[in-house]
This record gives sequence, C-alpha cells and structure tokens, in this order.
Amino acid sequence: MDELRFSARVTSRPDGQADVRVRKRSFEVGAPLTFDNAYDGITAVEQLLGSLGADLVNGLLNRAKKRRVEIDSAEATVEGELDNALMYLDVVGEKGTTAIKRISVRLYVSTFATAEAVKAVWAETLQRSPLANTLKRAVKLDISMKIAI
Amino acid sequence: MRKLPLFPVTMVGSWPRSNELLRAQKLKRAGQLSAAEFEKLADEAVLEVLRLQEKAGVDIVTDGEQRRDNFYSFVSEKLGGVKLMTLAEMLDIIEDKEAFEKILKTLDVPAYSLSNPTCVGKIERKTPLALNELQFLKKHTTKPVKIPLPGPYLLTRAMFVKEVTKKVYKSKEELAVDVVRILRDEIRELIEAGADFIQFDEPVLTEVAFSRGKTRTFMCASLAASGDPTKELEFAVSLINQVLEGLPPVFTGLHICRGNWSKDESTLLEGTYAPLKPWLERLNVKQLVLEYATERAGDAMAFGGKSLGLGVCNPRTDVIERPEEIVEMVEKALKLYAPEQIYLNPDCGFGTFSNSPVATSGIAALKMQAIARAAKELRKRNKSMNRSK
Ligand SMILES: [Zn+2]
Repeated sequence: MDELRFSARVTSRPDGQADVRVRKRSFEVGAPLTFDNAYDGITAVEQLLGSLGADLVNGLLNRAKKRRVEIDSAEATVEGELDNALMYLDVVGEKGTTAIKRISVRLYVSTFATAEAVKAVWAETLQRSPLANTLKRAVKLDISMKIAI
Repeated sequence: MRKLPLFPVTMVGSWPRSNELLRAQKLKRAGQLSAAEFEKLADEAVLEVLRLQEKAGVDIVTDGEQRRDNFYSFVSEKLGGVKLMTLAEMLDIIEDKEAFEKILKTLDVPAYSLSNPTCVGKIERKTPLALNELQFLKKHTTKPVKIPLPGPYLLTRAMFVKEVTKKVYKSKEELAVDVVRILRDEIRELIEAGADFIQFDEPVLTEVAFSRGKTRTFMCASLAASGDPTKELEFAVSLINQVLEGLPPVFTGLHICRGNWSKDESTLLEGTYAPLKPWLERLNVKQLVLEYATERAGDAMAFGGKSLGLGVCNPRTDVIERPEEIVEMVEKALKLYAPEQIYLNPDCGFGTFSNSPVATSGIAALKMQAIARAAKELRKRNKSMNRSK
C-alpha cells in the first residue's frame, strides 16, 4: 500500500552538507556525527534524536487535543550514547560498533489536567509512536515523563 | 514599625497560588486575559491568603506574592527595557549553552518553565514594583505589612545577559546604577505609603559563597558572575547600601537562603553563614532573615547588632514542626540574641516559583500556626521582661 511508504531524497552538496527533500519541503543535514562543539551543522545523529523528541512531544499534544486533555506545553530532552565512539574515529585496535546503544528521553508536560488523564494520553502516545516503536527494537530506550503545572 | 509583640511571627513572602490563579497567570501571559481581569482574581487570592495568615496568628503579613510569577521575574511587567525570556528563548541567544543545559538537567525542569527578566533596553520604572501590593494590603488589614523586593544584586545579575544587554549597558556595574535608582524610587514610595517592613531577597549571595566547583543551579541569575566570590560580595554589599543610603527610616531586612526550587534537599546548596558574615554585617539593614530549620544552614550565629528573622520551619517538608521544637530552636538563638531581636519566620517562601510551589496552602497554614503557637509559649516565658523599642 502506498500510504505506508514515506520517502526522502538526499543530495550531496559541495560544502559537506546534504539537502533533504521531502514532499514539498526541504532541510539540510551535515556529518553523520561530530565531536566538535563548534561544528557548524546539524549531524545525522542529532537529527535522529531531535526527530524522536518531536515524535513524542507533538504526538502527545495531538493526542491530548483529540482526547480533550488540556496540555499547555511539553518539552523533551533526548540523549543518545554510542556503543564505541572511537570506532567512528578509526582508532586502531578498538572493538565494538558505532551503533547508538542507548537513548534516554525525559519528557516534561505542563498541564492542569489530572495526572491520570495525562498518563493515559501518554501511554497512547507511546503505543502509536513510529520512532519510539522502531528504535526500541534496536537500542535500549529509556523514556520517562514528568508532569508539572 | 507599629508596636509588636515579642517574637513577632512573619512570612518570608510567598504562599502557594491556587490552580485558578495559576491558570489566570498563564492566560494573562498569552494575552487572553487582561491585566485588570487578572488583578481582580489576584485581589481575591490575596484576601484569602491574608485571612489564612490572620487566622494562623501571623503578626506581620505579606500578600503571599500572589500577583507575582516569582519573587523577581515579575519586575519585567513593571520595568521598561526588560523582557521576560524563557530559558528556551535564551538558549537561542547565549553563548554558554552548555551551562544552561547543565542547570536544566540538575533542576530536572523544561527550559520553557524558567523565565528570566532580561535587560534588552535602557531600564525605567513604568509602574511601581510593589506599591499596588502594599496599598491593597493596607486597605484590608490592620496588621503591619512586609513587602519583599528583589535586591539590587539579584536584579543586576539576572537582568544582565551580556549577549543582549551589552548593546545598552557596557557592564553590569553600569546597569546596577539604574537598578539602584529604581529601587530607591520604589522604596521612597513604599515608605510614604506606610510599609512597615521592607525585605530584600538576595538568594544569589549563597550561590556566590557555596557553589564553587558544583553545578550552578540558581536559575539564570548565576551566569553573569565574575567568578571571584569576594568581588561579587563586595559588589552586592555596595549596591544594597547604596539603595538604602539616606532614605527615611523604615524597618529593613535581607533574606538569603540556599535555594527553594525543589523538595529534594540534596539539590540545594549547603554551608554555614560564616563565610558570608563579614559582608552581612556591613549591610545597612536592620534584620537578617535567615534559614535555620534546615541542617544545611549550620548553627545560629550573631551578626554585629542585626536582629534575626529566624527560620524555624522548613517550607519544603510535609511534616509540621511541633511548637515545642520551635521553642527549643528559639531558646538556642536566645543565647546569642535578646528576645526583642528575634522574629520568627519559615526558612523561605512556600511558593517561591508560582509553577512549582514547595508546599500546599494547607501545609503552609499549619506551619504558620505552629510558629504562632511557639511564639505564644515564648512570650509567656519571657513575659517578665519589658519590651523596649
Ligand atoms: Zn529563600
């Protein structure tokens, strides 16, 4: 079924960035990952972490709207940890892989709704999240949520 | 100040806001509720907080800071040249993002939940900071009134965000000149309107003294520090004394504490007042309003002639201190202070940050009742002595 397929076209650029075109929109992504805080680009790994966070934050808000649970704001911090970063740097004698082995997500929700209502919507969000459900098959995925006013 | 009983019971400032008021605050910020409509709701909230204090036996009342978002960021509504920015917004403009990220992780809060009054233009007082709070209280109570104000050092440190402020003020010293002037104007009006007790909140002083080598957790206010504690403390003392110099007589206090953002005591700062003592003694305030109910503050000490606002209950715990415990604490302090030099208060406010209060209204009321009960007992014990004022 075509509705199940999504695609992006990624084209290299001379400056080391790549243009990503999806439907009628585009954005740019840089190196796979970087250890340089001053690197002027968004890495593929950062994109992935950001995407997972956005999946959960926006997923939660959309679902809350549907269920008429009033949520004011949400914010997620997403941290990923490589199995062995030195492998990426080609350090001789290193063992392991460059895979992300663990991702932790902390989600903050501001709401005046009851904790039960928010937790129910949050459980639904996790069940329906395309990225969380994919990633949990591949990495140790820790997700926690905190409710504040 | 008007005649007070021995061991006057007072508040540090804030009282937890009702959900209704918090919702109204949010709507006001989003532009969906007018300032006038908000003030009407806040009036009701203040009256309730006032009733609870009077019922509990509080001698010097506050308005529970019901109109404020927190004890210092509220100035952004009153001052021109100041913009309330969430930390999320600040992350877009400041260089040292990592320091902010560390603070947020330690506090375990989202970036949108912390706001900082940031100086983005020449600052000026559009409306008084707290005069309306005083006038409303005066209309509705015969009790003496305490007005907590953010101190000049806190305001300068918080408002000076070099990435945006430097376009207007070259240094925090330059910004401080205007901060001092604004506070002097405010205090003159507060005195004229009959304020009984003006308290400066300068919690960042403990951060200067105690946070070396630790992750700073004092919101944004900590970031513009020079790194040299002695220099910072000198700066703070000079600002506070400049604010007070030559003003008509009024009872003044300074409140410092080691943080009141979390019920998890391990995230809060720790250390006795000893390293701050030389500077605290040079402040031209009459009283130091200090936390002592928490062990993190160490034992009571005397500060050259200043009276003491003795913190006798911990606003962050759900256990209500027993009046006997409080009496015992005061008896200890009486070895260093004369009875008429001791006021009783909680360690800090009960709802310093409106969206993350450390107590419920019910617990705040019970704690203030316990303090008042202890005060009664202490007055009985010290009845023989004549109150000399
Ligand atoms: Zn405090």
